[in-house]
Amino acid sequence: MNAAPPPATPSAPHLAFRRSLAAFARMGVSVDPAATTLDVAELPDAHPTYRAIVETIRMAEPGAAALLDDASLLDRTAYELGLFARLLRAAVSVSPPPLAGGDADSAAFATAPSVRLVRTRWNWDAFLAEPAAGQPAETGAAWVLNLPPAGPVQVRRLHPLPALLLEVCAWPLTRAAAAAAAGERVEGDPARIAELVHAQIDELCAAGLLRLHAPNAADHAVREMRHLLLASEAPYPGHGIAGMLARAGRAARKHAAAAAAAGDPAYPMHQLDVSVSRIKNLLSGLKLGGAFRVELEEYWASEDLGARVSSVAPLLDVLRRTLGEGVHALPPYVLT
Amino acid sequence: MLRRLAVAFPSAGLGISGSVGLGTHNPLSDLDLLVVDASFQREMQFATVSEGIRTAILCLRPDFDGERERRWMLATSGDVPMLVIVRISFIARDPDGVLGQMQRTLTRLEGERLLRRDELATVRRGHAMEIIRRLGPAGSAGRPQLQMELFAAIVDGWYVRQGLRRDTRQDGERTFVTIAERDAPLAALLRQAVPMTHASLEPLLRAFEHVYEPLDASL
Repeated sequence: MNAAPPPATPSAPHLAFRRSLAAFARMGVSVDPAATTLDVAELPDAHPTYRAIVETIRMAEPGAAALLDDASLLDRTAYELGLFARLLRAAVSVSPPPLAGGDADSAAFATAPSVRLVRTRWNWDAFLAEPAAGQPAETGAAWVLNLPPAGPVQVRRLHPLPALLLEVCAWPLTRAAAAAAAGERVEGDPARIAELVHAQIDELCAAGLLRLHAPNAADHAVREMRHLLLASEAPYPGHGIAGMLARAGRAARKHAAAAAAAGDPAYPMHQLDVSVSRIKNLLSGLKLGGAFRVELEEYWASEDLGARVSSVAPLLDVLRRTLGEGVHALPPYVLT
Repeated sequence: MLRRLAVAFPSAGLGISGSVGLGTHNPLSDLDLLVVDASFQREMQFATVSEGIRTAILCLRPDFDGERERRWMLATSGDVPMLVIVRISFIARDPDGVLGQMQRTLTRLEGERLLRRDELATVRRGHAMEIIRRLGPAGSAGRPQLQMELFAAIVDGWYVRQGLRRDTRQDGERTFVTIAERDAPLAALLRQAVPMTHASLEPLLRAFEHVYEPLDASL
C-alpha cells in the first residue's frame, strides 16, 4: 500500500496575516508560503504563512528585520495564541473564581489570565491607511488580545490609558496605586487622572480584561493553592503543561544570559541544552514540535553558543508572549 | 509567605529549602518553600513573588512511600529533586510532625544510598549502556537529546561512586569544577561534549569508558 502523500504547502498567503503582508508589501517584501519546507500535518492552515513570515524576518538585514518583526507582531501573536489555545485554556480554566467587592479602596485588580497586551513601536494602521506614506510613524500602538473559553482570539486596538492600565496591572494594583503608576507616565492633573483611571478600571473589568484580584501575588498564590490542592477533582488533564513550558522557557533564557556572561560557560551551556531539550519534549507532547522544527534543529546543529542562542531565541520569545506575564507568568503544575 | 501559608494550612509542615534553607544564599537567590499537608488531594508546584523575592512552593502529601522512594533512589541514584528539597529543608513549622517524619525516612535511605553506592553506580551504568545502544555505533550521527541523557548518566554515576551529591543550584553550578578538582581527565572529556551536538558522541563514549569500563567493540 502506498503511503499518503504529504499535504501540499499552500502557495497563497493565509488571510490571518493579510495585515502583516500588506505592510511587508509596502516595504517591498514579498512572502511565499510555498517556499517553506515543513510538514504541516496537524498544524493549522495558516502555519506555512506564519513560518514564511518568521523566515523572512530571520533572513532580513537587522534594520529591516526590526520593521518586519514589528509589522507582523500582532498577527503572529494572535496566531501563536491560537496555536497554544488548548493548553492556555486549560491553564485559565483552573484559575480561582473571581473575587467580589471591587468598590473598596483596598480592592486590587490584575489583568485576566486570558489577556495579552501587544505593543508595536510603529503605527502600522496609520501607515496602511495612507498609501502615500513613505514609512510608518514611530508613534506606537497597543492592542489587547483575549483568548475566550471557545472561539477565535479576540483582538482590539486600545487607547493609551487602557493599554497602560493593562500593562501596570500585570501585577495586582489598587485603584490608587494604578492611578499613581499612570500619573508617573502621563502628564496632567493627578485628581483628573485618578478619576479617569477609576472609570477605566470599571470599563476593563466589565469587558473581562481586568479582574478583581487578591491584593498581591503572594495572597493570590495562597488562593490558588487552596483552590487547586483541596479540590477532589484533578484540576486539568494536561497536568499543567503550560506551567512546565513557562518554567523551561524562563530557565533557557536565564542560562543563555549566564552562558554569555560567564568566564567559564560550560555549565550554563549545558543547562541551556537541558532546558531546550525539555522544551522540545514538551512541544512534542503537544504535537507542536513541528511548528518550531527549524529553530530546534538549528539549535542542536550549531557548535557556537551565539548561533545556538540566536536560533532558539524566537521560540523563547513565542513562549514568553503566549504563556503569560506578571502574576500569571508561571502557572502551577501537578506533580502527581 | 510562611505566615500566610500557616494561616491557610494550619496543620501543614512548612520547610525552607534550597540555598536559603542551607544558609548559602546570595541576594539574588530565589526562595524555595515546602508545604506538606494531609488535606492536599494532589502534589503540585506553585510560583509567586513574595516581598519582592521569587518564590517556588512545592506542595506534597505526607504519605511518603518508603518503598517508592527506594525505587526512585535506585533508578536515579538518589538525586530526585523533590526528595532533595525535602531532605535539605529547614523545618520552620511542623505541628503534626509530618515533615520531620519524611526527613527521617530520607535519612534512612541516605544511609542505604552510601552503603549501596556500587549497586547504584551499576544501575546508572546499565542506563547509560541502554542509551548507547539506542544511539548506535560510535561515529554515527548522534542524537543530541539522547546524548544529553548519556551525559547525565555518566555524571550521576561519577557522583555516586565518589559518594558526592548535588543538593542545591550552587552544587549544580559547580559540577565541572568539582569533577575537575578530583578527576581532570573526565572533566576534559565532558567539556568537549558541551554544547551538545552530533560531535559530542565521541567524547561522551570516552567519558563512559573512563567512569565505568571499556565498551564492547560490538557497540
